[in-house]
Amino acid sequence: MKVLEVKNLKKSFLSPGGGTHRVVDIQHFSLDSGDQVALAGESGSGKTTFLHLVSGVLKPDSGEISLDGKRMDLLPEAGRDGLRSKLLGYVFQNFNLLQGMTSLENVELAMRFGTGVDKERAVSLLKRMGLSERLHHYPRQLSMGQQQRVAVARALANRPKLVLADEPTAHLDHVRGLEAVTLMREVCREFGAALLVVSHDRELLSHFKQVERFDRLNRALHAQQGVAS
Amino acid sequence: MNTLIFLARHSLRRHAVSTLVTALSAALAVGLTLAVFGLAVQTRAAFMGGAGGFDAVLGARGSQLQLVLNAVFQLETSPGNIPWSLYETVKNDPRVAEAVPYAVGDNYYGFRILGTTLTVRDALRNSSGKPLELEEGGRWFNEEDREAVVGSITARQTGLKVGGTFRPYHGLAFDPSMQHEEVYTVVGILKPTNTPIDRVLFIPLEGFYRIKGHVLRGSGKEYVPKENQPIPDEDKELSSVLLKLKSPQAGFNMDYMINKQGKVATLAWPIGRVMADLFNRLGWMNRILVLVAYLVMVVAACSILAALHNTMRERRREFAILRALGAKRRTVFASVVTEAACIAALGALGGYLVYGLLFFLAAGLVRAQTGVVVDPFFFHPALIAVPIGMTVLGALAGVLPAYQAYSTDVAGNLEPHS
Repeated sequence: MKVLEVKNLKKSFLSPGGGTHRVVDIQHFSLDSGDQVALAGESGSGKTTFLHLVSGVLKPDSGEISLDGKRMDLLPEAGRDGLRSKLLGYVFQNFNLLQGMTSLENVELAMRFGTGVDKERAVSLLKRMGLSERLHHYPRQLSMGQQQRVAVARALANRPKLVLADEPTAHLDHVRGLEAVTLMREVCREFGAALLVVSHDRELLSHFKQVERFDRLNRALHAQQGVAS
Repeated sequence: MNTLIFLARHSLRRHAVSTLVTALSAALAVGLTLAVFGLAVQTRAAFMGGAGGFDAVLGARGSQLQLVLNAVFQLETSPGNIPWSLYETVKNDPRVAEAVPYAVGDNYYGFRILGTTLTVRDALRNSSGKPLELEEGGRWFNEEDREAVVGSITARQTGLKVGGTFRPYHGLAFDPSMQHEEVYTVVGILKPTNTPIDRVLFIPLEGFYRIKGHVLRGSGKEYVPKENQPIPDEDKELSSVLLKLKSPQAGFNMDYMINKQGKVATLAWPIGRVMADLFNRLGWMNRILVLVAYLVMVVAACSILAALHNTMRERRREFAILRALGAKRRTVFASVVTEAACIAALGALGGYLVYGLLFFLAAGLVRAQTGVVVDPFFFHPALIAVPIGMTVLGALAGVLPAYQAYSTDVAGNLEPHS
């Protein structure tokens, strides 16, 4: 069962000097249920834009995006918001925890937009992430590693089919980074969510059996390189 | 709705100082508006219903309002005097239930001294409509002696006690050089009545006439009372007579007889209508106060707008995160409007405190100046409408910042592209 399927996906932005600049051009990409895939690519290669397209934050210029069999690209913005909250978990590069909320409230917040608040589940998720003593701590009171674990718990709050992680180790040291990725993979497996990680961190990538090079996947980069050469 | 309250609560907590300052401005606006409404309504009600159970005032030819203010509220100067014979006529009129004569012209440290008869004891009523009561150990004056019964505010502010003595001052305004020689003994202190009589001193009418320096002109000629000689009725005069009438029809008849046909006296009837005329004439002033209060509410709403608007830039990432977590644009919009409404609602709650304080101060002032008590626990629709109005205004003030939040570019504000 395919959790994510992308076909002929294209996205361009307006260039500062006029005209358009194509950032994403992917012919085909898919993930099956339970897959754990890493997309390797350098900064500026369009990985984050790709994740924003997959999550429905951005609307593609053309192409198809199917999430758990539902066509994300055909939905209006409010529909994409709804689908995102129910089917996707998102771990951001900067974690993006809301500073005015505790760990528990950050997890509950995601539930409010998805399946509804389930405090028991929120607590158990945080405990699973090793944060049983940090439920009522604010992000500023947590280490970067702990913040990242809260972000993972939040991503899993609505029992998503797919978790997207954008450079999840960017703000962690080597040891903490590996711990974080290992934990993320474990919990995604436990909770039955597929995992798509984008990163340029070779160490992180080495822990994934399935690694795809984004520069090969994204034909927009080929075009740019062609123009450049 | 829970989510909106949840988001608003966290944002307000996060911006606690700005929230408090903005809510304070809303509280002041609500408190001021409530006080303007409350005091206007209560003062009007207190003055219109403050006649102590009397229906009409009979006095010298002139302004009915001046007559009522002088005889009932102890505020104005007397428009003149009427002869004793007129008092006798109305007292014996079958349409009149009770007639209480008043003679004014002296004071004690600014508190009016009313010369009257013991009819006052049974005729006057406190603000609850009950007969007057004296404090423990007191009694009413003997009409033949130099004795006085003192109102509660007068007693408290002058320090007069039962058994104490005082010498009146001539005139209605206190002038230390105008003290009379006669010494009066206080024989009773009235329990608070919450009416203007809390600010007077009652002495016997006969004694009032006999105070040295008082000249009577009841017959048209000057007459100076002589010791040990009765004062002829034709020489006596009164400042006013408070009347209780047996029926409203009696009021119509006497109004026609005294005001339309007669040329000697004025009948102010009904007292409530005379006071209503006064308040209607002063209505423009109240309307201006209400307008100012409304403007202050609008300014408070603008301060909510400004406070939220100023935070929108720094909160773009917060809105982007909410959207990325699945919040719809309309949820983000509504959360900011809810936040604005919550600030205004907090202010509205605080407004009740401000109102209580303003009302307490103003009510104290009104009571000290007139003896009239305004009820702090009365209900008026403005008590509900104004706080709701402020909350709605606050919510409207949140629309512009909410639109900014609504328009936040999600992808552009989450984090740098890689």
